[in-house]
Amino acid sequence: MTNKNKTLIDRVYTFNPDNSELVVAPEIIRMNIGYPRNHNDNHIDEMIDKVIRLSKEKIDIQSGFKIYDNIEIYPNRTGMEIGGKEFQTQKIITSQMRKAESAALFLCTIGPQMENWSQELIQEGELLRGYIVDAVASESVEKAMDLTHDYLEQLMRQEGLGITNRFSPGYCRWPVSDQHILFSLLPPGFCGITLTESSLMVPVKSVSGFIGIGPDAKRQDYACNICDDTTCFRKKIKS
Amino acid sequence: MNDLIGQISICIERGKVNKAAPYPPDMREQDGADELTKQAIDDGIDPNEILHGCMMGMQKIGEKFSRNEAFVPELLMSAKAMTAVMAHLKPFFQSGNVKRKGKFVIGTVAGDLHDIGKKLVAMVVEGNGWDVIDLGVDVSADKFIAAIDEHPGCIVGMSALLTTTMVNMEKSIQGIRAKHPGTKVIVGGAPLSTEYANKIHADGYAADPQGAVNLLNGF
Repeated sequence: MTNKNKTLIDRVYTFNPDNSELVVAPEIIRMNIGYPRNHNDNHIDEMIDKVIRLSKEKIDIQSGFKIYDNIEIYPNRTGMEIGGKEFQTQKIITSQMRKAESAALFLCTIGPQMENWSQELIQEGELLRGYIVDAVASESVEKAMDLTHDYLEQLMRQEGLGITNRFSPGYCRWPVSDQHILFSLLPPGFCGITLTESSLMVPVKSVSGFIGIGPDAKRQDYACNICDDTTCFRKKIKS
Repeated sequence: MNDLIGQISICIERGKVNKAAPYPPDMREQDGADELTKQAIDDGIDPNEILHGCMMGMQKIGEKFSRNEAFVPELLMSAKAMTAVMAHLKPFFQSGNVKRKGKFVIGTVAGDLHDIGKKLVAMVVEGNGWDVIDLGVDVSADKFIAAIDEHPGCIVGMSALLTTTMVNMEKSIQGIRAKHPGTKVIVGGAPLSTEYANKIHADGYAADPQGAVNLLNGF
C-alpha cells in the first residue's frame, strides 16, 4: 500500500448492519432447497415467505475485518503468506490474488438463533420447515457478508484501491484446516465466533476468509467462473 | 394388497401426514398416514404388511427423486409421513414382531457440518426397513468405530458436501478397516463419484437416497 493508506493496515474494523438491510429472495431459497428454476408450489412458497419474515427477529449480524499488508504468493501458486502465516490456498485462489497487495481477513455471523430454530423444528418432526429455516439462515449469512464486502469496497475505493472476490477455507480447494491460521490473525472471539478442533465455526451460520486489496484488484460478478473444481456442490448447483 | 396398506403407501409417497395436515392440497381433509396406520393396527393387519406399505411409498418417492420428478421438500414431507407410521410400529419393533433388514450407521465426516443430504438418506433408508443410527455431523473416525463396536454387523454410510472434507472419508475408512475389516462402507455427497469411492476403497457410492437403499439391499 502507498504511504497515503498505510493507516488502514492492521486496523480492526467492525461492521454490524441492521437486519432491515438484508434482502433474502424467496426464489433463491426455492432453488437452494432443491427446486428447479421457475418451479412453483404455493404451500412451499408460503412457508418460505413466512420463514423469511420471521427470520428478521432472529438474525443478529456481527461482522468485521482486519487488513494485512505485504501478502506473498508462492511462485508455484500453491500457497501464500498473509501476516507472516502460511495458507495452503491452491491455484484457483492464488491466481485471483496475484494483483492484490494486501488482504482483509474477515468474519461474519448471523448469530445462533436461526440454527437453534432449525434444530428445534427438526427435533419436533417439522423437517421441511426446519430445512427451509436452515436454507434462509445460510443465504442470510452470505447476504450479510455481501454487505460487509460492499462496505470494504467502498472504503478502499476512497483510497483509490480495488478489491477481489472473497475466498473461504473449505472452498476452491483451500483446506478447511487453515481456519485455525486465519483465526490466529484476528482478535480472540472476534464477532463472537469461535472454532472447534475440527475447524468448524460456532455459531454455525458464520463465514470466514479473505478479500484481496490493490490498485488493480478486481471483484468479479460470478465467483464460480474463476474455479475449475467441477466436483464442487456450488458449481453443480449453478450449472 | 389390502386397501388400507395401499392408502398408507400413497400417503407416504405424497407426504400426507395426518388429517389435519394441509399438504398436499389435493388430499386436504382426508385421513393421513397417522390415522390409516392406527386403523390398520386396530383392524388386526400384520404390522409387517404395514411396514411393507411404508417401504413401497418411500421407494416410489425415492425413485421419483432419482428421476428429478420429485424434490427435497417432497422427500421431507414423505419422511414426515413415514415417521407417523413408524411411531405406531415402534412397539412391534421393540417386541421383535416386526423385523428390520439390518443396521445402518450414518454420519457426515469430520470437518463437515452439512446435515440435510445425510438426513435424507437416513430417512429414506429407515423407510425402507432398516434400523438407522444417525451420528450427526462432524463425525470423526473414532466415533464411527465406536458406533460399529456398539452395533456389530452394521453397514456404515458416510456423507460429505465439500471437496475439502471428502478427503476425511479415506482416513475414516482406513480407521474402520483397521479395527473392523469386514465392515461395509458406502459413501455419498455432491462432490463424490464412483471413481472417488473406488479410490478410497469404499464398498459403494450412492448418488441419491434411493441409490443408498439399492446398495444396502444388494449387500
